[in-house]
Formats: sequence, C-alpha cells, structure tokens
Amino acid sequence: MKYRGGRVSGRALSLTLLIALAAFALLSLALYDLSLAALRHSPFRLSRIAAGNIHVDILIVGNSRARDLIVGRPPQLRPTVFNLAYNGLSREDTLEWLRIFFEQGNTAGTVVIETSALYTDQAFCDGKPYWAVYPHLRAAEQQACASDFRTARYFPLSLFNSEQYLRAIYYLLVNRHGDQSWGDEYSIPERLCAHVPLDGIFEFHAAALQIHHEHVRQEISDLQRWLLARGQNVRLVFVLAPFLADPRARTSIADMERINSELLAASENVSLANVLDSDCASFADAAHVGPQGRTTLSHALFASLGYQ
Amino acid sequence: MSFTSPPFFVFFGLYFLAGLLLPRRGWLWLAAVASSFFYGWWDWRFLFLLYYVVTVSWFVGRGLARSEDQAVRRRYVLLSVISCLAVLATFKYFGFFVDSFINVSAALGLKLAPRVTQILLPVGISFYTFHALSYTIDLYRRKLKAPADYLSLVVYLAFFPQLVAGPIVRASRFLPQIQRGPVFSPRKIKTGLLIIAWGYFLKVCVADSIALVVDPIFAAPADFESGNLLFAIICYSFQIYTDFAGYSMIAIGLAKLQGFDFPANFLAPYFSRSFREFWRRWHISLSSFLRDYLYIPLGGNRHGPWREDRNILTTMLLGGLWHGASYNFVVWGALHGLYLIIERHARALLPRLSSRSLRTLKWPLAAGRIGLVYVMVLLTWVFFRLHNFSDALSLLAGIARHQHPGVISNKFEACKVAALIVATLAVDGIFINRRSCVRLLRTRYAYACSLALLGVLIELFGSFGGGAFIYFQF
Repeated sequence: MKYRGGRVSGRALSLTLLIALAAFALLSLALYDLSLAALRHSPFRLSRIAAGNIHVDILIVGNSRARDLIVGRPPQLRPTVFNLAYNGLSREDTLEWLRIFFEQGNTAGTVVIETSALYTDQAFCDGKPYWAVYPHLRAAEQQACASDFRTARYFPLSLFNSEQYLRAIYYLLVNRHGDQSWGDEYSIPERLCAHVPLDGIFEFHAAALQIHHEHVRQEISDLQRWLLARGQNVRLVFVLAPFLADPRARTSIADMERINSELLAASENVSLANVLDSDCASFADAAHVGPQGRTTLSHALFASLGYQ
Repeated sequence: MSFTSPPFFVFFGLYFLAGLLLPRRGWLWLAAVASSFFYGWWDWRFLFLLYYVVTVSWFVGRGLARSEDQAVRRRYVLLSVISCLAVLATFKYFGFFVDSFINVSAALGLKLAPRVTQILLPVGISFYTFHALSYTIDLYRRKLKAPADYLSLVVYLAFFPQLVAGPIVRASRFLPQIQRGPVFSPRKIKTGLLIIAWGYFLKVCVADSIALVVDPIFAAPADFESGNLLFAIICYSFQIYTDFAGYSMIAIGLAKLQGFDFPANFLAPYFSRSFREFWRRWHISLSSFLRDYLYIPLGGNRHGPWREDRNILTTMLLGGLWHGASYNFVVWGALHGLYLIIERHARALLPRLSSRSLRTLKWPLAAGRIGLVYVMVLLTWVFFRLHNFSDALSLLAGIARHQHPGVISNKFEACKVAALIVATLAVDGIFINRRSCVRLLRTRYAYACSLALLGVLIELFGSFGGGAFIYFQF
C-alpha cells in the first residue's frame, strides 16, 4: 500500500486515536459505575430486594401473569404483599429470584408462584443488569445467556442494554413511588370481544404439555429444602392466574389445570383460571388480567390463601 | 459473514494488515481472494455466478476495446445487458414470473400447476449485476478509456465492502482507484473510522433496537390497535433508513480506510422538501444509476411532458421491481413514480409567492413540505415492509380505523427507540451542512470525543447477534 502523509501525519492520527481510546475507556467506566449505582438505588422491585428490608405476608413471583395478579396496595394494609414478578421469567429465573429475595435478608410468610412460570425452560437474559448486583443470578444464568456473558466480559456496559434497566431508571428518576402498582393497563373493548386472539393461551398450553414433570418436581423440592435449611418457614402456594374463558380455549385451560394437579400433587395448588370467566373487560388479552379484573382477582387470591 | 458478526472483525483486521505490507499487484490478488472468501462464506455456490458475470463483462470489455464499429459495439453491450438481466431474471424473478403466469392463466380460466424448482437467491446479485452493467455501458460510452484486466475487474465486481448491499459505485469512478491501488492515508483513515463508527451506531443501536419493538407487531398486525400499527410503521421508516444507511456507511468507511472514495448513499433523506429531493438523498447510488442508465436513455425529459411522465413511471416501476420479486415492490415504485409526476405538474400550477412572503413563510413552508413528503413516503413503506399485498391493505385499514389507539405494548423499549430516532434525526439535521463535518474532523479533541461517544453508545445499546441487514434480501 502506498503511503501518503498529507496534513494529518501518522503520529498525529495515533495520538488522536489514543485520546479517543482513553476517552472511551473513561466514559465507559464512569457510565458503568453510574448505571450500577442507579440500579442499586432504584425503587424498582428487582433493586429493592437488595436492601433486605422487605418483610411481608405474601410474596408473588412469576412472569407477567403473576405481575397482574394483584392490584397495588398501600404498605399499611394487611395482608402485606410484595410483587417480585417480571415479564417473561422462566421457571429457573423465577426460582432464582425467589432465592435471591431470601438471601438478601427479606422475609415472607407465603410465597405465591404463578404456575405458568413453571412451563418455560428458556432463560430470560434481560436480567443481565442485575448480574453485577446479585452474583448468584450471574452464576445461574451464565450458561443459558452465554452470548450476553461473553459480550459483557469485554464490554461491561452492554449489561445495561435491557428493558429491566430502563424500568429501574424510570422508577428512580420519574416515578419514585416504585412499581408495586405496575400491571397491564389495557382492557379489551366490547366490540373486539368475539375476536380476541387466543394464541397466548394456546402457547402456554403447548409449553405445559412439554414440561418434564420429574425435573420440575425436583426443582420445587430442592427449593423447599433450601428454604427449610435457611430456617424459613415459608408456605409455598402455586396459583394458576385467570385466562379468558373463551369457549374455544376451555379445553386448553382445563388441560392446564389437569397438568398442574398432576405436577403439583405434593404441593399446595390453587386454580383461579376461571375466576373472571369470559368477561372481556377484565382482561388485557386472553392470558393477562387488566385493571378491571385485578381487583376481583386480588379478593379471590386472598380468599384462596385464607386471608379475608 | 455480516459486518456485525465477530468473524468479520478478524477477517478485516488480517486483510488490512496484509494490505499494508503488499505492493499494488499483490494487493489486487489479496482483494480478489479476500472478497471471494467473504462472498463464499455465505454460500460457495454463489461464486460460480459471480465469476460468470465477471467473465462475461471482461469478454465484453475486450470486445468493446477492439472494435470501433458502432454496430459491433452495440452488440457487445447488448450481450452484457442480456447476460446480466438473464441472471437476474433466472435467480431473482423466475418464481415471480411463474406465479404471475399462473395467476393470469387462472383468471382466464386455465388451471396450471407447473412443477417449479425453488431457486436460491444469491446474496448481492442485484448489486454486482448493476456494477457489471455500469462497467460495460461506461466503456461503450467511452467514460472508461480502457478495459480493465481480469483481476481488476474481479476486485471491482466482488469488492467485499460493497458486494452484498452496495453502494453501487460506477466503474468510471472506482476502477481508476483500483488500478491506482490502495493508499495509506492517515487523513482518510481518520475519516473512515468515524464513518464506520457512525454506521455501526445506526445499525446495531438504532436499526436493531427498532426491530425488537416492531417485528412482533408486523408478525401479527391484526392483533394490534391503530396506535401500535402507526407507531410500528413510523419506526419501520427509520429502521430501514438506519439499517441501510448504516451498512452503506460501514462500506464507505471500510473503503476509505484503504484510500478509496465511495460516494455518499444517504444524505438526511427525511429532511427532503420534495420527492425529487428525496430521491437525491435516498439510496443515491441506485437513483443516480437508474437516472443515467434507464431514465435518460428512455428519453428523460427531452420529448415532452407526457413522455417524461412515462419515463419517470417506468424508471420507478423497474426500480421497485429491482428490490424484490413481488407486486408490493411494484406498488412501492409506482407510488413514488406517481408522487414525482404529480409534484412535477403541481409545480407548474401552484402560484408563485412573492420574495417577502417566501422570507416570512420560509420555516413553516419548509416544515410543512418536509412533513408532507415524510407522510407520503411513510405510506409507501407499508408496501415495502409487508410482502403480501392484502396484509399491507389490512394494516392501512387498521391505522385508518382510529377508534381505539390501544396501548403501546412495550413503552420502555418504545421510549428508547424514540430517543435513538430523535438522536439520529438530530445528527442528520446538524450534518446536513457538510462543512460542519469537516470542522469537526479537524479538531482533534472533538473528533476523539465523537469517536469515544459513539463507541460508548454502541457498547450500551448495541445488539451484537450478527443480525442480517434488510437490504441483503435484495
């Protein structure tokens, strides 16, 4: 290749690139520390548990269906509830977050696990911002999220490319009340009731048919032993949240209840699948409860757990 | 091997280091082998077709150089045109023609069900066939003084930065640079690095982030209300822009690192105040190619207004079809053709404003025109994105049914995407005046900070899964 120096010399270019590299490294480090600090101080649910000062009657874990199980409650109301659920959590993620909750020194009398979270094996790597906060989570997700793990080793800032991080920042900077009243805000309008897509129900059903019962029972049993070993006298309850009881989906819903009965024969298993029946206004979509339905569901949940 | 996949960084690093050490002839061999390796990585079978096009072009080039007889020269260039178009027709449009034939036959009452072999579409075929046409036609028009040797022609047609998705660089512009050889220039390396960084930002940060939000909506548009649909199509207009502009920037930057100058392919297209201006800012290499090799030979604007309209429509229809073998792309091209025609006639009919009015209304007028052009272009993207005609119409009907806007399904990712789009538009708006770019590059600290900031943004928002570029499908 021919060399042509011109107005910019090779030495000047090298110096400029060194300055750029140094600026990149400094900015990257500063932003990493800032992001981590923001994450730790956020009132977002996944950050709050790090402080170890949550002591509640009921802890809810699971995926987005668990997130919508309960309407936001003021802390002085009994029973006290903390919702730790998050969109898309798999079975392993759900149980891991449960462990982290207790490991950080928090306590709960009853743990409600929304059953559909047990159906999913695929890890949800959006939790990567919290790898720096909870080392156990990092270890648990290292294999399942290998690609993110490798990228983060060389580019640590990439950990914060996550919806969870955006939510944490939102609750830190915008809505400092926290996210315990977070739930799906949409209600299916009357005119669309007959045409609601039921894919969500069928997907959960398909996933339920695939699970390896022995494997899941073993994981639940391991969790119970782990809790006992920590001296946590925790009541573990598996709850199936409502589905829109559209006639086309009744068979799938009934089958999921049957699968749960077999899978959780040795555990406390409650089905609220048909509590809201086919009232479209109570649902955001076929598999998620909307704001109207959440109040009814909260009462039904408390009643099923023995709280009035 | 995509520009955003890890193997590419290793590949380019080795290639660049080797190129620094080799003399010009050695670099030609290196570029030819490296480009063939790059292309063969997709599918080694594609190489046969590429070298077929190279060989035909080389043969035609030698024939044109040997002959002064116009009729003979015309036959040579016709051979090149027919060969290139035959390649496109076979590999890209065969299935489309067969399906169209079956549909027309069915409409006439004939039931046909021919057994059609599925033909694999080679990556980049639309681009290197156009490069081949540029070479032979430029030779025919004597814009190129002498034909290229075989090796230089391989490098021109197969040069990996531009091979799979352009920009379409004219032979008269690039071949002399190839024949001169690469030049190590710190100034060009400095420019190239910044262009590449911006290209990566556009692709891995903006385009790929948008894809995460809008792909679920386009996968099942009937499940979403009008607000979500409108949001999706607006985001898509920026996804396709940043995806393609990002690729072009990376290609231009990679060439710049080696001392080669490629023309800009996008110049803030969504700031266009007319459709004519839009096509001078969007996919510039294609629009100028179509202008010089199709529109002007058809007669351009030299034979009256109605023939000019015909030539515009023909050019845009074929430009649409170039993108893909589907009537959706034909509709896309037709809409743009109609916009250009209507704009041309409207210009003659609209009253002239006084200079005082023009001064007063300068900014509102500009904003209004930019808005109008953007909205009309947005409409065409529906047909571009949804490859099924009825899906496109359903989506438009869904947006028009504005009874319930619905709730944006993922507000946080949507906000992130909106912020990235605004940042992109802001940079476009600032650098629309190119002198700002030059001033920035001259200041060492501003340049270094810009590069560092882009690096941090790529690290923070980038998706490194090696996601495909949208224009690879063309």
